[in-house]
Amino acid sequence: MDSPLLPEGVKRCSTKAFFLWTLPWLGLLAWGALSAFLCLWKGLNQTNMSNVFAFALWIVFDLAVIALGAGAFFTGFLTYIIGKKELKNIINAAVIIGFICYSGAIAMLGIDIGQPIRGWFIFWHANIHSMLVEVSFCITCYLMVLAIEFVPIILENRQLNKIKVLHIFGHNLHETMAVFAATGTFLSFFHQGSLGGMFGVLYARPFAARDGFYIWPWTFFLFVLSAIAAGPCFTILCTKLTEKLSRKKLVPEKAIQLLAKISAFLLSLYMVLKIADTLGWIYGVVPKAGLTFMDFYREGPYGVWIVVCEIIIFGIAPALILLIPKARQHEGWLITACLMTCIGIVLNRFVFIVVTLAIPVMPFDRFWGYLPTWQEWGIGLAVIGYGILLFSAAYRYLPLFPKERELNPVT
Amino acid sequence: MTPFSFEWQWNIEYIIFMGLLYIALAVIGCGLLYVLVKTWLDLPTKEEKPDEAPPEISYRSRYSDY
Repeated sequence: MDSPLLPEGVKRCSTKAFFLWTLPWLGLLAWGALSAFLCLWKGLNQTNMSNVFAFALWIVFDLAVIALGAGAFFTGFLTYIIGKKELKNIINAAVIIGFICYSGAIAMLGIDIGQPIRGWFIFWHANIHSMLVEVSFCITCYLMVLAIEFVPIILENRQLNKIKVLHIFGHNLHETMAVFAATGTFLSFFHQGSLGGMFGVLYARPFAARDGFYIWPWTFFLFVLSAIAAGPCFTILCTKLTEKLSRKKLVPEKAIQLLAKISAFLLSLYMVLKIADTLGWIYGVVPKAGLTFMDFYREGPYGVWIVVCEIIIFGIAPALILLIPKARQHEGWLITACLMTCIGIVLNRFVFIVVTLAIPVMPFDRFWGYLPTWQEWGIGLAVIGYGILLFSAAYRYLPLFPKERELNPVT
Repeated sequence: MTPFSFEWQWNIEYIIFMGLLYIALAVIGCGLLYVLVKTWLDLPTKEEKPDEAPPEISYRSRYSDY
């Protein structure tokens, strides 16, 4: 039925099979729509957020998807600025993943602020000393950049490509992409960093506070580094998942291996700096606050195991797998390492958001627990549903992987 | 916020912070404007039959190579 819209020379599943595939994700979207309606209609009392947990599940999702979406800016930087031509074969997928992550995050923030009708206040009545304001500026501008990067991919659709003006417009956008990629890199560097900096400057919360360089706490640099290490891993993961589901080879192994190798070095560097930062925190910030390391892990479910998971299991282990050429060339190990890296980064964001707020600050404080409501889960999972739907539609109707035809000749 | 807003203060912090935002927006805007003007200039001037295929752009099919 939709065959005139499919890219030429590639095989796609039937319309019926595609429709059935979209059903569970449409279900997630419906759940999210109902949750969003309730939050907008009745207010944020539909959530378990409170004065203690002003940042909760949605911010964990936000920070996680923004870190995982960093593959778009970093792959763009490597492709257009550094000139790694092999990555042209995966850049389209990276851009779409980035677009999904950032648009999903901004949609979720629209609900999180409670009154989206006043969302523009952050731009018009900006508090220029707030890292959150900088983050808002940068993610909004970067979403514009991602939309511009997405447009030429959409215009390569078989039917749209027949329209002369769109054909030339798409080509010209493609030719100018380096300018947008450079702008995206600038914007991403600062918002990824400021998301981390935001926690590092919480001097009243020694669990998150860090020393730093000039106005930037160490978490600023660690968040940038962790995002550029995990972003490409997430891009590889999504590509491999698409390859498994479509039972095709979509990206030349050279591009995947290059991205994995770069990720390995960045992840290793991140782990070294993260360990140094943790030691600096244990022997510097914590004693200065009159506390000991174990004071943070006495109550609630967040014990030392969380540090072990974050640094050793989902940090050092995937870095080692990706560093060993034979291991990263093995598909199973590559997917495992990428998955572990992504889990590690999500865990890191969770620790900085939820654990920071849960741990008591004053001697008379108690440990605060937090469990999201079904409405909070609904909105968070809707972003996943939206992402899978958009990526599936992009794979079906757009030439997402330029080498697909070459790697899978139709007999 | 612009320099005309009542909250604006003429100091280095405001100039750097808001200046960088406006530079980023200007680059995005100018980039888009350049592409739109170039597209307009690239459009063939002579009238063509509506069912005629658009002109092939050299090396367009090799985006992944260059």
